[in-house]
Order: sequence, then structure tokens, then C-alpha cells
Amino acid sequence: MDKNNDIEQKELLEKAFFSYVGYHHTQNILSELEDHIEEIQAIEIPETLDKKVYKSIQEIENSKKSKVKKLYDKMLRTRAHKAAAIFIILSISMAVLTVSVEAFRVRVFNIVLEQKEKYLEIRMDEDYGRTDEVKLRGHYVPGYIPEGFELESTAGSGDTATLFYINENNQQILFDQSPNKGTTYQLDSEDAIREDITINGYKGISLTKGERVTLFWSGEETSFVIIADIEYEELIKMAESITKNK
Amino acid sequence: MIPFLLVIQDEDLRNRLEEIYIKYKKDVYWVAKNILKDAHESEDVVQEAIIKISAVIEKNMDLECNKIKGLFVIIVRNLSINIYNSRKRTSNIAYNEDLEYITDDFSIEEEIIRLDEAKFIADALAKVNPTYADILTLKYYHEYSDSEISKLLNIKEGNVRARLMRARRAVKDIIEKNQKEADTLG
Repeated sequence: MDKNNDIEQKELLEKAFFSYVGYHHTQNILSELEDHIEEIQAIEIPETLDKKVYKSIQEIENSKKSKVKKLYDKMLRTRAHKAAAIFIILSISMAVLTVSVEAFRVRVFNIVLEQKEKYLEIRMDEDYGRTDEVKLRGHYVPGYIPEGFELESTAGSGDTATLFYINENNQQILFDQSPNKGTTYQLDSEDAIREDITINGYKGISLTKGERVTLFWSGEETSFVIIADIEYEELIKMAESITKNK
Repeated sequence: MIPFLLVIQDEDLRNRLEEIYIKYKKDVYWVAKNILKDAHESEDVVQEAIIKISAVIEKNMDLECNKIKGLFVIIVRNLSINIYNSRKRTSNIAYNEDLEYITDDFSIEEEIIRLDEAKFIADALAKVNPTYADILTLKYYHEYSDSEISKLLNIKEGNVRARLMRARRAVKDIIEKNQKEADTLG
């Protein structure tokens, strides 16, 4: 065994040992709380504490949304530098990875990320600068848009396009279209109700999770995804109204 | 797709934070109040701890497991101790967390450690100084970086390293003392 490997193994052993000490320390903390369970249960939590904490949680959420919005607006306004785009997308995707319990695979802006057991595989199409606003000519657009929603922005390149609709309550509808060939979607299906659907004669699926509805179906050459927190029937109506914008 | 993925994530974060708070608020409020003896300061500490947890929550997904409860308690306890110390204008722990006086002399190859000693060491270390046990737990059990620990506990990164070294040295002392006692009895 060489010296470096020797040191590495000792460090691993130390880490494992201290981790086990930490585990027991945590057990001791819980045990101490258990010893005072009656006293703890009898504690009256002041209303002011609840208010403070819920306010903080709301602020955390708002802050994150605001950061994302700024980031996304910036991405739409300017063609991001190649390296920067990869960094941003990777950062976001890694964050999403942590909330997924299954093997993760998502295509974001023409970059394919696949979480293997021990590594993250990234594949990119040649034109991966999918951050510019797209012209809707030649793309599919919905003829029916649920009441109150307006087209907020578009993104895409080539045959792929994502359209964002928003209403005054800040509800959003995402409509994504991509060529069938080489397209991979990862949809949030955990604990979702899955149903088979038919949109204009083409088969697909719907996923309903809480208030969020996701529709996915494939046409002759193009696959579509619509995601929104609005009524199922409204989303189906929107999906059925999609035609190619000539 | 990015905004939607992040909206999903944001909602998930909010739900998880609320769930953590609802589940453990009595425990952590009790911990803070036991140290600070002041309702308002205890509230502030619990509030701050939730904000801190939001930054690291991705690493602690299973809210049912005791790990997240232990983490919440450790953060609240350490933030409370910080306030208690600043209120008293002196450290009740009274150690100089200055790196230049500290050397990390723990070496596992010099110590004969049995795995079943981990519980004994955790008990003994918490008696020597609970913040030593806390910092070892954050570093090796929760696997946070020095920078993350620094933010979680509101202490400088240098003090994180210094406290870790002191904790390791305390572990060494405990092991050696235990071995001496065993030798004497043997």
C-alpha cells in the first residue's frame, strides 16, 4: 500500500468513526428530549413565534422565486455564455436532483442530464444555446388559452420551443414542444395520479399531483408537454386547441 | 422548464420547512428557553434556526428520521449558547478558539479504538463540552463543510476548525483516560 493510499484509508476510518460518534450524540440528544417529554409537551408555543417562523418561511420562498425570475429573465434577454449556461443549468439541475428519489433524467435547454448511481451524465445537442426568444411561426400554438392568461415569454431553438403563460395571480402555464426524435422528458410522477389521455387522436398521459396537472402526448413528429396548476378540463381544452402556426 | 422545476422545488422547500417546524417546535423552543430563560430571545433563535436549515435542507430529506430533529436541536442549542455568551460578555466555555495555539494531534493509528466505544465517547464528549460533540456531529455525521457549519452556528470558519481540533483532542484524551483506567483495573 503506498503512502497516499495509506493516509486516505486512515482518514476514511477516522471519518467513519467520528460519524458514528455523531450518530450516538444525536441519539443522546433525542434521548434527553424524551426524558423531558412531559415538560416539552406542556410548553405553550407563543403565537408570535408561529407568526415569525411562517413569515420567515414565506420570505425564504419569495427570495428564491425572485432569484429564479431574475436569472430566467436574464437568460431570456441575452444569449448566455456557453460556460455560464452550463454552470447555471447544472446548478439548478443538481438542486432538483436532491428532491428526486428516483434515478434522474431531465432535458433542460437541450442538455441531457442523467443521474447514474455514482455520477451525473451530461449530454448536449450541438445547438444548446436555447435561451433566445423564439418566433412562433412554424411552431405549435394553442388556439384556446384559459381565461386571464397571457403569453409571457418564449424560449427555444430549432424545432423546440417553450411558451410561458401567466395570469395576474402569478399562476403559470408551461407549454413545451420538441421533436420526437431524441427527446427525453423526466416528469414529476411521484405520488401522482396517472391517466391515459387522447389529444386530437394522439395518445398520451396526464399526471395529477395535488393541484398540478401535467399533460404529455406525442403527435406525428412532435411531443408536447403542458404543466400548470389550473383545472384539468381547462388544460385538456388548451391541449386540444393546439395547431401549427403558419 | 427551469422555472417550473424550481417552483416545484420552492413549494417542496416551504412544505418541508413548515413540517419540520410543526413537528419539532416544542422541542427546540424548550431547548432554547432552557439556555436563555427568555421567551423573546428563544423565539428569535428558533426563527433563525429555521432560516439556517433552509440553506441545508436538501441534504436532509427524510423528515421522519431523527437526524433532522437532532440537527435542529444542535443549531438551536449553539445559537442559544452564542447569545447567552454575548449577553454575559464572557464565554462560559472559556476557550480561546485561536488557530495558532492549536495543533491537531489526533491520529487514529495511535489510538486503539473499538467501534462500540463510539457511544461511550459521545457521552463523555458531551459531558466535557456539548459544543464539541455538536461540531463533530455536524462535520462527520451530517457531512457539512466548515463553511456550512460556520453559517449554521454563526461562528467564524477559523473557529469551526479550531473547535473541531479541540473536539478531536478531547476525544483523544477520553480514549487515553479510558485505556489507562482499563489498564489499572486489568
